[in-house]
Amino acid sequence: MIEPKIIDLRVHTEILELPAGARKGRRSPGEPLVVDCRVTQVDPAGWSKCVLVLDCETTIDQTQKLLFGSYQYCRERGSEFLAVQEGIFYADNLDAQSLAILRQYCDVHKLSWVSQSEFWERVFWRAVRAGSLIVGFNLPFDISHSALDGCWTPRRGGAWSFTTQQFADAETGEMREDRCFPRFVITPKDGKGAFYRLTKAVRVSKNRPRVIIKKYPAIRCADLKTLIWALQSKSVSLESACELYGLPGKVSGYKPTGQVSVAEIEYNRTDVSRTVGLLNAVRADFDGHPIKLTPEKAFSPASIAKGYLDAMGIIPPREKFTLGPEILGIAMQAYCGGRAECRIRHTPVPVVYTDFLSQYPTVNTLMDLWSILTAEQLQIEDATDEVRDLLSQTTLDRVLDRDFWKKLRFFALVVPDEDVLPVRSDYNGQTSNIGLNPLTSSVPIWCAGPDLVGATLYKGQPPKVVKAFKLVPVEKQAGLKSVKLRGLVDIDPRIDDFFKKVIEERARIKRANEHDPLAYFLKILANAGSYGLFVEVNPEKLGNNPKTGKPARAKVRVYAGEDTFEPTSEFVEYPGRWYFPPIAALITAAGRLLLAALERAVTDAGGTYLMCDTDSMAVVASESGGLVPCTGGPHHLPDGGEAVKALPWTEVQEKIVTRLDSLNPYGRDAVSEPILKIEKVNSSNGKQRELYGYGISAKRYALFSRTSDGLQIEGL
Amino acid sequence: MIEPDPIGNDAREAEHLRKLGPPPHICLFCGIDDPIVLLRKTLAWLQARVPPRLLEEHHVGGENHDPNLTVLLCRTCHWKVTAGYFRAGIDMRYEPDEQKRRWRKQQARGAFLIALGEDMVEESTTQLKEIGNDRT
Repeated sequence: MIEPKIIDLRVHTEILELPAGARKGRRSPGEPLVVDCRVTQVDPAGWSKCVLVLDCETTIDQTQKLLFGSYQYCRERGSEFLAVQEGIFYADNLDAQSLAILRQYCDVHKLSWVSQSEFWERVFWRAVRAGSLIVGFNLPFDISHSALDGCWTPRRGGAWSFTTQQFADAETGEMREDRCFPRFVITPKDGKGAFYRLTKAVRVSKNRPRVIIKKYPAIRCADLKTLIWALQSKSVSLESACELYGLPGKVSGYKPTGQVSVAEIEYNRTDVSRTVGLLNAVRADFDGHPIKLTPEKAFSPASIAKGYLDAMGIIPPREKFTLGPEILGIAMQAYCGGRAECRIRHTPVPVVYTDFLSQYPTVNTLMDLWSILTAEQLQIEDATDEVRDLLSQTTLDRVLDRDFWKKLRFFALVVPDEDVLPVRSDYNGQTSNIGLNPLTSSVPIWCAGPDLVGATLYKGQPPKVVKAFKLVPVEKQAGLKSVKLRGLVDIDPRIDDFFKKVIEERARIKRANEHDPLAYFLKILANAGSYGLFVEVNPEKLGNNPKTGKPARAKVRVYAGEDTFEPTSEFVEYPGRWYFPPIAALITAAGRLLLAALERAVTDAGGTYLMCDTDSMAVVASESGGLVPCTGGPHHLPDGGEAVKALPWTEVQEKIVTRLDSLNPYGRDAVSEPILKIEKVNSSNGKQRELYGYGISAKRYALFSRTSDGLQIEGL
Repeated sequence: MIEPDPIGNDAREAEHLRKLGPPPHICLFCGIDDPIVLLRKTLAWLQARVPPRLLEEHHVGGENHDPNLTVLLCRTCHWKVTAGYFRAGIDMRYEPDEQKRRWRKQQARGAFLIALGEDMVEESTTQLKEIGNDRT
C-alpha cells in the first residue's frame, strides 16, 4: 500500500547576511585569523609554560554549594609540569567553624589560602594573564561551582555564563557583578566536552570604587576527561583514568561527606595531585602524536584524526577543489546516516551476530576515496549513460567484486518508483527518522551511487535515472608528506591508502599483542578519520535582536539538490574545516550497500535477520538450522503456525561469510580475519554457542544466551 | 630561594612578552635574545627618552644619499657599521648626480646588509660551538 508522506531532505546552506550585532562567524577555510585586540594576537602553540590545576568540593545535597577547593600552580620542567604553588580557597559564605578548620590546616601545612572571590582575582585571572592552561578533571563542574554567580543564556545555541567578580555598590552596599572582569562562558558541546571563552571586560560598573580593566589573553582550558576521550575514545572517571595510564588509583576508600574536615581537605588535595600526575601522563601520550594540535582543541578522536590529515599535508577538499556549492547541495540531498532496522519484533529468535570489519574505513578503501582526498583537483563528469549501464547490469555477484566499487563514486537524479531507498520522514508521528523502504515520487531526487546499486539489488531492476555525474580525481596534490602515526607507524599519503594501511597495521600489531594500545589507537584513528569530519556542521541559534527583542534572523542561501532559494533563518550552520558532503554521502551509502549485499546473501540462502545497525546484522541462525516460530514469517510449522527459517551455522559461514569475503580489500598477510566477522559474543570457551536475540525497534535489541539458571544477557 | 608569588611573576612576564609581540625577540646587532631585557618601543619613544649618547640614528644608505631610512644603533655598532662603509670604499659625500647618488645608496645598503649577515653568521657559529653542535 502506498502511504503519502512528506519526506525530509538535507540541504547545504551558506550564510549571506547575518543580522546586525551578530557574531561574524567562525573562520572559513583559508580566511585569515581575525585579530581581536582584546586577546592574544597569535594562536597558542603546544602546551603552555604553566598550568593551573583546580578541584573543588561541594555539599552533597541538591544545591551542591561550594565548600572549598584547592589548586596547584605548576610550571613546565622538561616535559612535565611541577607544582610551584599550592593553595586552598573557600566559599565566601562558609561558616566560621569550617573556616577555622581550613585556616588551621593551611597554617600547619603552610598553604596559601584565599576566599572564593580572592581566588578569582588573585589566582585565577592572574594565571590566565600568565598564559596558563586551566586544567581539571570534569572542568565545567569545578568552574561552575567556584563561580560567584551564573545563569543560562540562550544566545548562540545556549551557554552557561558565570560571574567571577563582585563589588559592593558604593551607594546601596549590595554585591554586584563587576564588569571590569570578563564573564566566563561555558558552552556544552556534548556529554564529553565543552567550549570555554571569556566575554569582554570593558564596561565600567556604576558605583564601583576603582576601575581597572585588564587585558586578558584568550583563555585556554583543558578538561582531562575530554582530552582522554580524544586520545583513547574512552569515557573515564578520575580513578579509571589513573588506572588507564598506570598511575596510583584511589589512595583510600574515602567518600566525600559534603562537610569541611581534615579528611575532606586531604581528599581534595590528593585529587588535585593526582590530576597533575594524570596531566603529565596524558601529556606524554598526546605529545607522542606528531601533529600540530593544542591540547585544549582536542575534543574527540576526530580532532586527532584531523591533526594527522593536516600533518600529511592534505589540503581540505573545499579549500583545494573548485566545485560549486550546487554539488554540495546535491551531495547533502543524497546524504543519510547509517541504516538501523529491526526486522523481527517481540519474538526471540536464535541468531548469529555478525559485524563488518571497520566498515567505514573498508568502504573508503573499496571506493578508493583516498585518491579523492589526496587529489590536486576533482572533476565532475557527466556519467548518465555509464550509470544506466552499470545499474542495468547490477547483480549480487558484481557487487561482490572489489573492482566494481570504484565505479560507485557517482550521484544520480532518479525518479523513484517503488525503489527501496533511504528516506527521512516522520514515521511515528513524533520524530524524523530514516527508513529504508520502497519510495515512489514524481519529483526526482538525487541519490548516491551505492544507494542506487542497493535499490537495484532489492527490486531486481534499476531506478529510472534522469541524469548522473561522477567524481574524477585529477593528479596528486603537491605538498603531501609521510607521517609516523603515534611516532611508530609510517604512512606515506602519496603511496599508501591511509585507511587500508591503518587497518592492516592494526591487524599486524594486534596479532602480535592483542592488548597493544597502539592497535586500539589505530582502530580509533581509522574510524574517527573516515567519515564524520566530512559532514561536520555546527548549527548555531542566533540571539534576539537587541532593538526589537525578537529572535534575530540571518539571510541564508539554501542548496537543495539543484534548487536554490534564499530564506531567512534563526539558525545558521558553520561547516567544519573538512566538511565535504560528496565523500560523506558516498561513505554512508556504501555502508548501507554492504548491508544490502549481506541481506541479499542471507535471503538468497533462504534466511532472514533479526536486526541490523550500521555495520552489524544478527542473522537468524542456529546450530542445525530449521524453522523458528515467528508471527508474520513466510514459512509454516507442522502445527500451521507462522515461522522464519534459521540458517545452520555452517551455511552462515559458507554461503555468507565466505561469499562476502571476496570484498576484503586488505592484504591477507596482515588481515587474516574475514571482512564479515562472526563476533566474539557468539562464542563461549572458544566454541560457538546458541545465541538468541530479541528486538523491540531499531537500535533497541538484546542478545542473550540460555543457561541452566535462565537467561543471560550478552549484549544490548 | 623561595618564590613568594610565582603566578604574579609569570603574569607579569607573560604580559611583557605580549607587548613584545610575536617572536623572534632579539636585538638585531647585539644578539641579546633574553626577552625580559628587551623592550619594543617606537623610534619616537626612543628619541624622546633615551639619551642621545646611548643610541644613535644610523642612515643605512648614507645620510647624504638616503636621509629617510634609519635604524637605531648603539654607538659601538654605529661606529663598526660606518667603518665598514669606509672599508668597502663607499663614498659617503654628497653626490649631485641623481643616478650616481642612487648607486651609492645601494652600495651603502648592501654593505649594511653584509655587515648584518656577517654578524649573524658569527653569532650563530659561536652559539653552535658553545652547544657542541658544530659539524664544520
